[in-house]
Amino acid sequence: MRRMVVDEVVAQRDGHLVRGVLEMCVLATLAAAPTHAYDVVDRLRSRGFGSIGYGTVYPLVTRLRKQGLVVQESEPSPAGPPRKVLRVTTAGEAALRDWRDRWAATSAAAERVLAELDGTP
Amino acid sequence: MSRTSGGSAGWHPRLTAWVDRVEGRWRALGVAEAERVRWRRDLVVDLAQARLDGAALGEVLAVDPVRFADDVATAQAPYDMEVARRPAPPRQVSPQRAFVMLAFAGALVGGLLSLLTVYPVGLTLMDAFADSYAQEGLIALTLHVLAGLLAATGGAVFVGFGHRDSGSSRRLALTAGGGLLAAGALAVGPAVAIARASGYSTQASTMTLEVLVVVAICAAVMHAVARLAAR
Repeated sequence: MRRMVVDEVVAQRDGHLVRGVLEMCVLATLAAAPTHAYDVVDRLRSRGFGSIGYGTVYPLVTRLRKQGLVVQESEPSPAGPPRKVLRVTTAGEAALRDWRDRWAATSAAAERVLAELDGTP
Repeated sequence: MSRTSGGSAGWHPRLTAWVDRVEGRWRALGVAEAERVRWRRDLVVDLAQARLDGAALGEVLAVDPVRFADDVATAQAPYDMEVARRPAPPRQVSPQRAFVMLAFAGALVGGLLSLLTVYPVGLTLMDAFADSYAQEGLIALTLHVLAGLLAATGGAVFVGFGHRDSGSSRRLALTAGGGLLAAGALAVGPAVAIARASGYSTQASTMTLEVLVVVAICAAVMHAVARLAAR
């Protein structure tokens, strides 16, 4: 019973951590290569976000589209009809740069706090 | 094939059923049809492309369509999910209508009280003391005036109680009482005219007509009074 509670707490903590960065990671994934939401899921998983699914990424992409950071476009396909893909807009690129700067500052601050455990300044 | 499947190579009927459930949830949330159609089209385009690129069907179908629909609707700001989830607020009765309804309810209670008290006593008095047609008429008139006063008092009490939290409850109560008396006085003429025209018939149809005319006149007067009171 106690084990289940601990697992739940850990899962919640993981969820908070991922939620904080997922939007930035989805945007970064699409900035690297325009694709559809399902492929974003695959790519994020292959980079270590094992718990991410379509049910998480599609609503997130929807919000990014609503904010004008991502648009859905047709892309020529070598085999068959044009592919429908999500592409990062200029505003999305600017938002990604901003996120990245903030992430760097936040993670650096966290690293400094954690470094105190090791006795290093 | 439904309008969403479009016969795409990688599409599967079970995906159509899943999208149907998502759209059904949007409908239940009160999302307008034009938006639903647009959201559904976008979702189908993405899913169809995913399937063409080899996405596993089972993984999409494993997503809870209700939660998914909620999350997408939440993402579609300024669409407010909390508002959609909230039960519809009860219809508000306009202050004027509330005034009229309270006045009528009070008048009804007052009228019933007069039927139970004033009329039996009055009829007993009439039998005991009225020696002439004129005396009977005087007692009958007194009875009706008392009944009217009781009904108007009932209306005033109800309106006053209904507006007890308002600073103008006393004024509204007096207005309602006065309005009911005026309405009753106005209704007497047409009611008596109908009674006279029918030879003072006590048939149900005639009585119903008289009651309807009185109620209609009182309603019209009280609506006018309510408008004046609201100023």
